[in-house]
Amino acid sequence: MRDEVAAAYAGTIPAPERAAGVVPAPAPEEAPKPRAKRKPLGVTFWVCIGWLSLIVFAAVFAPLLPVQDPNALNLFAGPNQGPSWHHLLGTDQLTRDVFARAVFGTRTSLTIAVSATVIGMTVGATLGMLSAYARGRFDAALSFFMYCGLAFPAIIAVIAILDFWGRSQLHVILVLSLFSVPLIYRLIRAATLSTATKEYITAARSQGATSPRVLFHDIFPSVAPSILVYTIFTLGGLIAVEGALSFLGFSVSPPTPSWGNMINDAGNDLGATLAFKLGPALALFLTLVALFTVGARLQARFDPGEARL
Amino acid sequence: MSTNGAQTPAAAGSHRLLEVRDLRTTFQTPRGPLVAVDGVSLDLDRGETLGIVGESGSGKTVLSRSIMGLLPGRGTLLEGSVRFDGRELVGASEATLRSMWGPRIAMVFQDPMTSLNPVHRVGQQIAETLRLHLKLSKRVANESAVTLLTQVGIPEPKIRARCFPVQLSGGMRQRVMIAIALACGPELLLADEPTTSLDVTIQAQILDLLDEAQRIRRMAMILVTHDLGIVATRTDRIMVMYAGRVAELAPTKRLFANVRMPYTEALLSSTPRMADASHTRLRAIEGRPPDLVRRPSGCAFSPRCLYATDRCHEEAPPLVADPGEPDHLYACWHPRGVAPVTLTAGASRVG
Repeated sequence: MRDEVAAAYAGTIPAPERAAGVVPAPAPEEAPKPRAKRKPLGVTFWVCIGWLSLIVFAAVFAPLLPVQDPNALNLFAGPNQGPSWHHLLGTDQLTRDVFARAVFGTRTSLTIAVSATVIGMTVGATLGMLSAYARGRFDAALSFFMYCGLAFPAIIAVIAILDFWGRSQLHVILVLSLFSVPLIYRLIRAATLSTATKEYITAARSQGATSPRVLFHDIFPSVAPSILVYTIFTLGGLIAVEGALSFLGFSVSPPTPSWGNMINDAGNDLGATLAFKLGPALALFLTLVALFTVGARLQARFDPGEARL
Repeated sequence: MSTNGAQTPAAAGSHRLLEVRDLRTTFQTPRGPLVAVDGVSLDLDRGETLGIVGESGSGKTVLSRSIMGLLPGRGTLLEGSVRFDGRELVGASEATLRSMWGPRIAMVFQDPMTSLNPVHRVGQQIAETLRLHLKLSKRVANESAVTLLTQVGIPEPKIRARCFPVQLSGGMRQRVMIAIALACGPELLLADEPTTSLDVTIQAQILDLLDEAQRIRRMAMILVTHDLGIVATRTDRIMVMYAGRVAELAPTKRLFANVRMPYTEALLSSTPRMADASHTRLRAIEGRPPDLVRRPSGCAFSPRCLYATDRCHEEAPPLVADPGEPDHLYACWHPRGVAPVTLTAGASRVG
């Protein structure tokens, strides 16, 4: 009777499998699945990448390119001239070449936005990851501090600080990165949190991995796509903010050109030509559209719901 | 709590591999402290397999993680004693535990779909553990990883080692998990529902694989499951848990032959049977497991028990040894003395 009972329960498992032998071989048809084919990124994406490459190229090599001195006066051409072969976008009210100023303005805008993004992302993402992994009091305190930062009216604070501190490029970079940290922190903390609670993190710990190792080797690769995407979005955001600041006159001081202060110059001058009015604004607009398109496409690509898993 | 866990173990043979005494795990919840494991004691020798059985929420997973010390630090309180090879693990430093995890104690997780890191190749995930604990070079570790994959019965191991987890089926992934757990030759393997998420034919293969590995390495193994069919043929002893406590603990054969605790009996009678006629209605245990934050006074199973009396509702039964069989422990005021169990429910139970 006892054996019968035991046998009955053992019966839940099909007998042939039990008798199969020492190391049961799995079914032979279990071939490795090919890695899922991804949706192509599309023409728009690559056009945007092309525009961004052009912008970056212009910014990096501006002094080497055959463009004129952005601050030189062209008294023979005269102020507020329309586009010509010699001045592709005409001249401004002080007879300076608008195209040259737009190219060098790219340099200013990108330098500030890229530096601030790199600093903000490094600080914000590091703190966000540490906070989400450590949890507890450290996390609570840091999150509270960051939410205070988020609640602060950033643009007003930035203007106040810059007005008080002086409007150098370095100051603009530092202030912009400071105010980009809370948002980045919040996003990366959330991304880390969703990874840190996964079973494979517990499994990694159960194999004796130390905390730094778990953080960088097991969690970071899953958070890296989010970091890339938010870097792109932050860059776009900061280019816009820098544009706004220099439009208001709180970024780099004239005569250094930047997109924002050129738009301001064109707006303040009744005689400004259409090319002068549209040139820098269009450059800013296209750059932002390109950045946000690229960011959104990458986000969709990295989203596990859409791609794989 | 003694924290000098690093002392040299006593002379060989004088202690069991694993001695758990009065282990209690408490989680702080917004509703109050939740005692997930309440005063569990057990022993385990090398080469022995213990099955832990219970329904969802009975504390079996928390127990296995408590034994290992693998619990979230925040809001968790671990009391009692877990001596592994003479060394106290409760209150041991994170570094001490980490040095044990892998080479001495390893765990196979429930869901192979989520227990492997999706961004690393499986061979690399096995090799990491080897490099970390055995300080192998990258090349040797990678070769050992392929050998381990062969040992766990993965065909074309060299190709599979370069696969990402998404490219492998559930059974394959569980084999990889087992390879990772076995990589550093642990003395104790905790298998937490290793086959729950796999289909039945793969289940049997995985269990055979674990059996085989255990026999070759003389490992001790704790097999946590809710499926009595799994533990019936593959364990030396079975511990039935209910509401975080031991309901019954007995050698496997004796447990199936002489059920004492009504909960075990109810569990047995709610298992589908091969011998039953088709369309036989599967018996279920009425009611739900108790709320562990507001544990009922008396026996935790009493609200659902067919034989409960006033005493059961008021006074929790201690874990006692069966007078006839000293290694058969149960916690019940009204143990089922009838042996063997009558599985045709109801009819012969009137008493």
